[in-house]
Parts: sequence; structure tokens; C-alpha cells
Amino acid sequence: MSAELVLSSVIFFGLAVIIPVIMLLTAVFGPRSGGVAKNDAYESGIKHVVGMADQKFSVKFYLLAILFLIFDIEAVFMYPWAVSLRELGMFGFLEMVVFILLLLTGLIYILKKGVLNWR
Amino acid sequence: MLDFIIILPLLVVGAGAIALMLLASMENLSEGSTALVSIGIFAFAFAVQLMVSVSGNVAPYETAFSGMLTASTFTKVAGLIILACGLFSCMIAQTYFTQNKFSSPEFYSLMMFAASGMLLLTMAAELITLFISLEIMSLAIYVLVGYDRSRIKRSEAVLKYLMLGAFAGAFFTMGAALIYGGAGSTRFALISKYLATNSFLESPVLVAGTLLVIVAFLFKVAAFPFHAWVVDVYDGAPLPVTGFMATGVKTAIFAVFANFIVLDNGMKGVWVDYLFYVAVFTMFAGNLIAIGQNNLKRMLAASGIVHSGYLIIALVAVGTENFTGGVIIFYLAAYAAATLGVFTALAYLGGTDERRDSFDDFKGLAKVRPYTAAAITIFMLSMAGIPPTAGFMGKFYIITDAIRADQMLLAVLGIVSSILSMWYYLRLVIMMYFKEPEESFEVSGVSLAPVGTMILAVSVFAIGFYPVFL
Amino acid sequence: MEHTVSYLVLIPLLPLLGALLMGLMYLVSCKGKAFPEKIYGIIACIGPALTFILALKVYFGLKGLPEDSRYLVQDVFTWIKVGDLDISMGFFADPLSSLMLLFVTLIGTLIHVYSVGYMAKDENFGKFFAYLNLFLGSMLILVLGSSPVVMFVGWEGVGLCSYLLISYYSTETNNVIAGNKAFIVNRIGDLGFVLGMSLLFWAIGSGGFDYMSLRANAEQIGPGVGLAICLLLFVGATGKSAQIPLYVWLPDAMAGPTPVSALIHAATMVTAGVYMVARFSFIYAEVPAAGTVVAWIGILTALLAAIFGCFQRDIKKILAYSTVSQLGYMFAGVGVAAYSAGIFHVFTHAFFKALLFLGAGSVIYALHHEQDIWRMGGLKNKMPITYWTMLIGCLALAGCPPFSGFFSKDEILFMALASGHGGVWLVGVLVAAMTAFYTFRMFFVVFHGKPRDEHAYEHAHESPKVMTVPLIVLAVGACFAGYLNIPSIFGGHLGVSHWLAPSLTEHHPHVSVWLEVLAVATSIAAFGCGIFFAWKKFYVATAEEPFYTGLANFAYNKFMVDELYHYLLVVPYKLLGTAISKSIEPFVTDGPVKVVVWLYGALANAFKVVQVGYVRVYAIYMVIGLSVLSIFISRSLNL
Repeated sequence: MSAELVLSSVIFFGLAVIIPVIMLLTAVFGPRSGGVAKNDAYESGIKHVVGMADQKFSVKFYLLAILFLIFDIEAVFMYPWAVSLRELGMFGFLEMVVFILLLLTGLIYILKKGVLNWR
Repeated sequence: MLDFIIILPLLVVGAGAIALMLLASMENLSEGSTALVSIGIFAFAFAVQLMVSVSGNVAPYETAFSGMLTASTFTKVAGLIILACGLFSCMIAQTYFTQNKFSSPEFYSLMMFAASGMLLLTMAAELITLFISLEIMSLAIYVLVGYDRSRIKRSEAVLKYLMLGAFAGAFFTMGAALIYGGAGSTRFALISKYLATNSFLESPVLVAGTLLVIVAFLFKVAAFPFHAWVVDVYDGAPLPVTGFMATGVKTAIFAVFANFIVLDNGMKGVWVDYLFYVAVFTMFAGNLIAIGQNNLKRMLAASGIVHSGYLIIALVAVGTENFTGGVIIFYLAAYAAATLGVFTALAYLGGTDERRDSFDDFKGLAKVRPYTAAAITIFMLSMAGIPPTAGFMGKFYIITDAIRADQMLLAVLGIVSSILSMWYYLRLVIMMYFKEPEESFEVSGVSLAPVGTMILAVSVFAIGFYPVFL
Repeated sequence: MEHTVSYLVLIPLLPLLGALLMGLMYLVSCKGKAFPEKIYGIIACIGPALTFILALKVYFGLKGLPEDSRYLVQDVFTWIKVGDLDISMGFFADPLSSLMLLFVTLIGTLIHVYSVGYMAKDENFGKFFAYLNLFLGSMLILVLGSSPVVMFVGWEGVGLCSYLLISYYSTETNNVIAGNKAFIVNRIGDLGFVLGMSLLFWAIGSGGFDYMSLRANAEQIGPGVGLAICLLLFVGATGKSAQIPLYVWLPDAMAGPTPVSALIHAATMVTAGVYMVARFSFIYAEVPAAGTVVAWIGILTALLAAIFGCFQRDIKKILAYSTVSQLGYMFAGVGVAAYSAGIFHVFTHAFFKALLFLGAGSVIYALHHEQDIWRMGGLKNKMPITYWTMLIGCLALAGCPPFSGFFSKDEILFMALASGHGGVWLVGVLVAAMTAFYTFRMFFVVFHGKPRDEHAYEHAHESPKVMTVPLIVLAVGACFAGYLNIPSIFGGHLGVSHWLAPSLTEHHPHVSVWLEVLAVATSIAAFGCGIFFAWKKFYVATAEEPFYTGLANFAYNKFMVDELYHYLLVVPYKLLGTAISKSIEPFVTDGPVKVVVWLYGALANAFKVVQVGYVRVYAIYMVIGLSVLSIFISRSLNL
């Protein structure tokens, strides 16, 4: 039995003991608050999780989600570029700079329009 | 770097769109000045495109950006038409928004985005580029159609367009994927090379793919049986957007359609029979729909279907000769001038919330506003194809082309359809000239549209006198 | 090439541009405040004046060329190209057209200037001059066209302007009817022209359809076809130049403003027919029989019109009939193959007839639009310039030596005699006497004797300078134009005939001097007789308004020719039209059309139902469409 194995088993067992103990202690000593809103399930703006699906809800959630999607996809686009950056060379770099700048203008527009402010 | 010259106009419009967008977010721009700025940008882009066009092929532009784009006189002139459409649409918008208050600078920005999509579309020589440019154009147009959120009619229009457009987009993507699967490339040039060595019939995948792509195009130009959306959408969209859609989108799609269909002679042979029926049905369905309409915009939308039918005749006929697209581009120019002309006139006659929109609303216009009535008459005659207007010459070239391609039946049906179309074109003329006016057609505010009407009325003749230039 | 020039196109273009400009100005201002008359006047006169200068340039340009190749050409663009037919919009000037050019532009300019005075304070001043300039441009196209087709463009253009200007005072129904009559009668003639032109093309058109090629190929025409061509073209000429049987429109055309009558219906347009016959002299020379027909119709027209002229009471109608009569002389001239004599009479006639009309206009203007000669009289003292210039005009018209009309008319009569057309000559002499009679009847009644209408006489006054100066210039022309073509018997050398020789195909017969002396003497005697009777009847005995009975009344009513035409042609034609429109049209032609229209409308309404407006339905259409297409394609490819 090597020293590392011993050490790691000590750590894991230690954790296995300490974490439940801490949780137990918090449950016993921690301060509490409650209510309907807290107990409700959270689904980006959908008020009633149970019931009919054709209810109305704020478009702001959509907007945020779409904006997230856009920037997310653009970030994804950078992965293959990063992998092949060496082959693409300076030209590829400049292309990506243009791309990011265009994104930036979009971001500026969004910011200035106040889309990200949760009113 | 020479590659960039051919997309210079596109860069101008695109940069203009982005700059306007940024500016709109920072400054409080007035409607009038935004319109003027965008007209200026379109005019500048037009000038640039003109320079690119007349400078000729100083560099081998056949394929640019590693075969993603192509440039010929055909695509350049198509670009010119698109930019002119943008210019006049902005004029229409300026006037339109003196009477309808839902404008913001982004409207013009979106027009420019749409225009840049169209420009890219005319030059696309590769399926993915084609798809992207199609979407750039379509997305901007979707937003523009539903720009006036306060009216339910507009929302309905945008919903229809978006749903069916997505449908068509799906067809296109599927088709592109199948073509890639069959031919092993998305580039037109390589597909064409593949087809030259391998028989088209050996690859059902390619046939299916091409069919789907063509269906997507037919949807966009509102050819039968994919035409149903067009009447509702044109009617629902704000006037400047309808004008831009009817002319710019059609020009762009037909440019890329022609580029696509003439890829290979073997391929084309297969489609001729099929497009023959599409052309005939499109013309007659369009006529039938148009005759039943009482609303001017709906009539124009339906007549747009008929014109698509003519252009498909040109596609059918183009096949046998060396393709230059001159006939198509001539017809598009003639059609765009006349259609935008009517829309410029409607822009200042339509009134608040497009109050005057049916045939009956233009009773006796000739007595109150003789020049506008005369201009509208010119546009109507051009669309109906009566000499010496450009519309006549366009039809004449298409028909002679069809005869030359041994499509005698198609030529005859084209002429018959042209006769039928007088029904609804002249109906407006009769309303304007032979009825007593019931109102005074007052127009308030400074507007640019009358200028546009005048220019277009002149150019309807000017284009007619200009022979096929390709 | 020395024959190709670049300024010919400017000659018709300048007045046409003027017409366009003034037309636009008039259109723009017709609702609001009109532009001042001065601006219109200047624009109107500048074009004709410049064309006159260009006409001089053409003349000197031609003079600089050797006699056997005197022509200038300019092809502007290819106009029609179908099979063998290759027509360029080209212009062609040779001695014949240069002569026409010179007097058309000169008289045109003078009449434009005169009109500025005559039409003053007219509410449609701009429109009038736009039409007048358009007329001049069309006339110049007619004269300069390089092929019959281009000539036809001008031919129709002048016809249109004639119509527009006859009906110029369009508030009066009669004027509009007169315009319509002129237009319709001219259309009949035009049909002849078109048919003749088509036949000409059929015969020799394949070798080129411009005058030079036609002339070179003229000998290939067979005699029968040649006769047909000549007669058909002459039908055109009878329409435009008011000959039997189509002369009826010209007297009615006097409904237009007087300068219009002077320019269009006396000096220029109506002579187009003569010009056309002379232009096609190379064909007429091949077919002498056609010439005989032309000559007889011409001289009979001259006789008929002279008879009518003796009994009219409207000053303009008298002049109109004298124009018809003189045109008859011209056709007699070209008919007996004396083309240069005919054209020379066109030339001199233009001066003195324009002068007479403008003089008459001056009188009418002075008397506030009074045209009845039996309400005038004694105007000699009131209007001295008009009086003296009119006297010169009358002497020239009556053929008094040494005024211009004498030389030209005498030449025609002499040529008729010399070429063996004795009958034509005899009638011609008779007409000459009658011409002198009715001319001086009008002159004496208007200017001498006692004033018949005191009130009008009191207010009569001499016309303004802008009107009298053209009168004086024209009077000088009427005096001396004849000296350009003095025959050898008076020591001259027929300058105009020699100048025209390269353009025409004519042969001068050699006859004895005594025949010529005989001809001259008879002419002078005829003139003397005519003027003597007029003097006796209307000057010595102070003439009172006559009351016509019997034959005279019949002549005053123009032998009922208008009525004859009306009942013989118009009424049956109208009946036929009514019959067709009542019976055949509603059932045979309209019926099927209406059924088709109804069917199509019903179909359209049915199709409207398909546009339901639901997205899901539209999507289903797309799917069905795609499916059908797929089946279709897989079937056709046998996949």
C-alpha cells in the first residue's frame, strides 16, 4: 500500500465525515426564512409551472436568452479558429478581429439601448 | 485584395447600416435626417457599384474569395438594380413616415442590412454563402414587415412570412446538404465539374437536393404553388417594405436562381420541363388572384406573381444559348422601375395608416393630380407591357427568347397572360380618369416621393430605349 | 465624304425643340399665371430664323459642289431594319429641297414674326406658337427626308399640325368640324400615299429605299406598276394639296387663325403634294399617261376653284379658292412634265399668297374679325401699307407682268402648249382671266368705293409694325421673285430651272420662238380681260352687295359638292356603321369577348377562395406542391 493511497483514503474519509456533520450543524444552528415565492420552482419568468402552457410571460426573458445565445454561439465559433490559428496565420487573425469588432458594435448597441437593464 | 473591389458596394451599405445603428443608439436622430442619410448611403453605394460595373474586368473576378463569390456583368447590374431599389424605397419611407408614425432609425439600418444580404446573394457562388446571405436578407425583411407592432395586420403578415420562410429555409438547407452529399462540394464550380463527368441521373440525391433548393427559390419569388403567402404579406407589410420586397428581393433571388440553374447544361435540361409548368401556372394563378382583388397593394402583390412567371419563362428560355442573363436583368429593371414608381406615388397618396388602398379610393385622381395620375398610368402601362415603355421591351425580349429556345407554346401563353393582365392594370387607370373625384388628395409635409415618381416615370421610358446591355 | 454633313438634322430639330420647350412651358403654366408673351415670341422666332440661316448654308454648300453631284446627306440613326427594308432617319438636301428650304424657312420666319402681333393677347399664345413651330419642324422633315418614309413622317406631322391649328379656336363647334374634315379628308389621301409607297418598295425597294437608290433603279419599274404608283402617290397629293376630288377641306380650313392660313394653307403645306410629285419625277417621267391625268385634274381643279372664287364673299374663302386654283396650275405644270415650272410656281406663289393672306389678316385685324368683303370698302386711306402691299400681291396673283406670278404661270402655260397639251393650255388661259377677275373683284370691293359699314370703318386702323414689316418683305419677294427664272424670250436664262435640273428628270422641248410669243401674248391678254371686267363691274360702278340667283347661286354654294359628298359618302357610311354597331358588334364580336370575360372573372373569384389566409393551409400548399413536383421529376427521370 503506497503512501499516496493512504493519504487519499484519509482525505476522502475525512471529507465523508466532515461534510455531513457541517450540514447537520447548519440545519440545527442556521437562521431560517420561508414563504410561497421561496418554495416555488424557478423557470425564467414562467409564473405557473403547473397548468396550461399557453400563458403569457414577460418577453424580457426571451430577450436575455436570445442575447445569451448569440454571444454564446459566437464564442463557440472561436474554438475551431483557436485550434487552427497557426495554419490560418495573420489573415485568419485579422478576420477574427473584424468578426469580434462586429460583435462589439452589437454589444455596444445593446448596452446603449438599455436592453440589459432589468426594468 | 482585388477581391474586395467587387464587394465594395456591399461594404459601403453594410458599414452604413452598422454606423447608422450605432448612431441611432447614441444620438436622438430625427426621422427626416435619417432618411436623407440612408438615401445618401444608397446613392453612394450605387455610384460605387456603377464604377465597379463600368471598370470592366480589370482583374479575374470570375471567382472571388476562393470561389465563394462570383462576379459578372449580370451580377453587377443586378446589384445596381438592388441599390436603386433601396434608394427609392428610402424615399418612399421618408414620405411614408411623414404620415405614419412608427419610424425609428433602425428601420433604415435594417433596409441596408437587407440590401447587403441581397448584394451578397447576387454574387453567391457557393451553397453556404448563399444560405447565409439568404438569411441576412430574410431576417432583416422579417423584422421590417412587422415593424409596426401596433397593428394586428402587420403582426399577422410577419408571422405568416416567418413561418413559411422558415419552412422554405429548411427546404433549402436540406437541399444544400443533399447536393453536398451527392456532388461532394458546396461550390457551384465544383458541382458543375462533378456534373460534367457524372450523369445527373446516376445520383438521385443530387436530383432531390436540387429540387429542394429550387423550391426554396420558388418560394422566395412567389411562384405557383409556393405563392400563397405573398398577397397577405405584401398587404400587411408597411408600404416602403412592400416596395423593397417586391423589387429588391425578387432581383436578388432571380440573380442567384439564374446563376444556380445554369450551372450545368445537363442539369438544366431536366428542369426545363418542370419550370415550364411552373411558369405557366404562376402566370395564370397570379392573374386570377389579381383580378379578384380590390386592394391595390394586394393587386400589386398578385401581379408580382405574374411577373415572376415571366421571369421563369426567361429562365426556361435562357437554357439553350450562352447564358448572360441580359433578358432577365432587363425585365427586372423594367419591373422594378414601374413597381417602385407606383409605390412612390402611393407613399404620398396613401394617407395616414394607408387609408387609401383600394381601387375605389383613387377615383378621379387625374382631375385633381393630373401629373401623378399620368405617372401612375405610365407605370401601369409598363407593367401591362404596352409600348414604348420598358415593360413592353422586357416582355418582348423574354418572348423572343422563348421563341428562339423553341418554347413556342410558352411564348403564346406569355402573350395571353399579358393580355389578361390589362384587366387589373387598366382598371386603376379607368378609376383615375373616368370617374369623378370625391376628395382632394391633399398631401402635407415635405416629401421626396414625388421626386422619385418623376424620376421613375422618366426611367420607365429610358430603360425601354436602352437595348439589352449584356 | 464631302457629301456628308452634320448640320442638316439641326434644320428640323431647332423648330421641334422650340415646340417642345414652348409646349412644356405652356403645360406648366396653363393653370396658373402664363409666361409673358415676349418670351414665347422670342423662342418662337429664334428657331425659324436660325433654320433660315442654315438653309442659306445648305444652299451655298450645294453651290460649291459640281453640278452633277449636288447633294448633301446626313444619316442620324437607323430607324427601321426589317428584311430588305433598311431605313435610316436620314436627311437629304439637293437643289430641289434647298429651294423649298429657302422659301419655307424665310416665309415661316416672317409669319412667325407677324403672328406675334396678330395673336397678341390670345389666351393660348404659347400653345399657338408651340403648334406653329411643330408645324415648321414637320414641314422641314418633309422637305429634307432622305427617303419616302421619312418624308411621310413630316407629311403626317404637317397634317396633324394643320388639324390642330384649324381647330385652334376650339370653342366654336364649326372650327372643330372644319379641323376634323381636313384631317379625315387628308387621311384618305394619306392612304393613297402609303399604298403608293408600299408598291414602290415592292417594285424597287430592295435596292435601297432612299431617293438616290430609287432614282437609280427607276427604270426597272414596269409601265403598269409605274402607273399605279404614280396615281396612288397622286391620290396622296390631291389630299394634301387640295385637288379634285379631295379639295373640299381647304376652304373650310380658313377657320384657323389667318397666319396659319397663310403659312400652312397657302404657302407651304399645301404645296407638299407638288413637291412630292416633283420629287418622284423620275417615276412620273417613265409614265407619261400618269402625267396627263395629273395635268388634267390640276387644270380642272384650277377652273372649278376659279369659278367658286368669283362668287365668294368671305375674304379668306376667296383666297382659299385662289390657292386651290393656283395649286391646280402647279399640278398642271408638273403633269406636263414641266417640273421646274411647277416648282417655280410653288416658289413665287408662296410669296404672293402668303402676302395676300397676311394682308387679309391685317384687314381682318383692323376690322375686328370681320371677314365679309361686302361689309368692307374704302379702306385704301385707312391702311396705306396694307393697301399697297395687297396691290402688289393681287397683281402677282393675277399674273400681271412683271410681277412674280406672271413669270411662273406663263412658264407653266407655255410648257403645256409646248408639250402638246393644247387643251390644258386653253383651260389654263381661261382660268388666268378668271383669276384676274376675282382677285381684283376682292381688291376693289375691299379697298375702294364707299365704306359699307361706317362703324367698323371708323375704328379701322393700320396694323402694328410687327405685322406690316413682314408684309413689306413679302411684297418685295412677290415683286422680284419672278426675276430668278426669266425665260429666254425676255432675255433671261431660266436660273431656277437650271438650278433644279439635277434633281428632276425633265426634258425641255425645243419649240419656235413664235409659240412662246403667242403664249405670253395670250397670258397678258387674259390678264387684261379679267382685270378690265373687274374694274368695270366693281370699281367704276360702285358695287352693291349682289343677290345671286340661278347658276350664280349654285356657284356661290360651291356646286353643292359638299352636300353631294355628304349624301353620297358620309350618310351611307354612317348608316353602315350604325348597322354594324347595332347588329354585328353586340352579338358577333362583343358576345364571345363578354363571355370570356365573365368566365375569367368567375374563375378569379373562385381562385380568391383558395387564398384563405391561414398559414397552415399555405404550408400544406407548399407540401403538396413539393410532392407533386417530386413525383413529376422522379417520373420524368425514371428514378
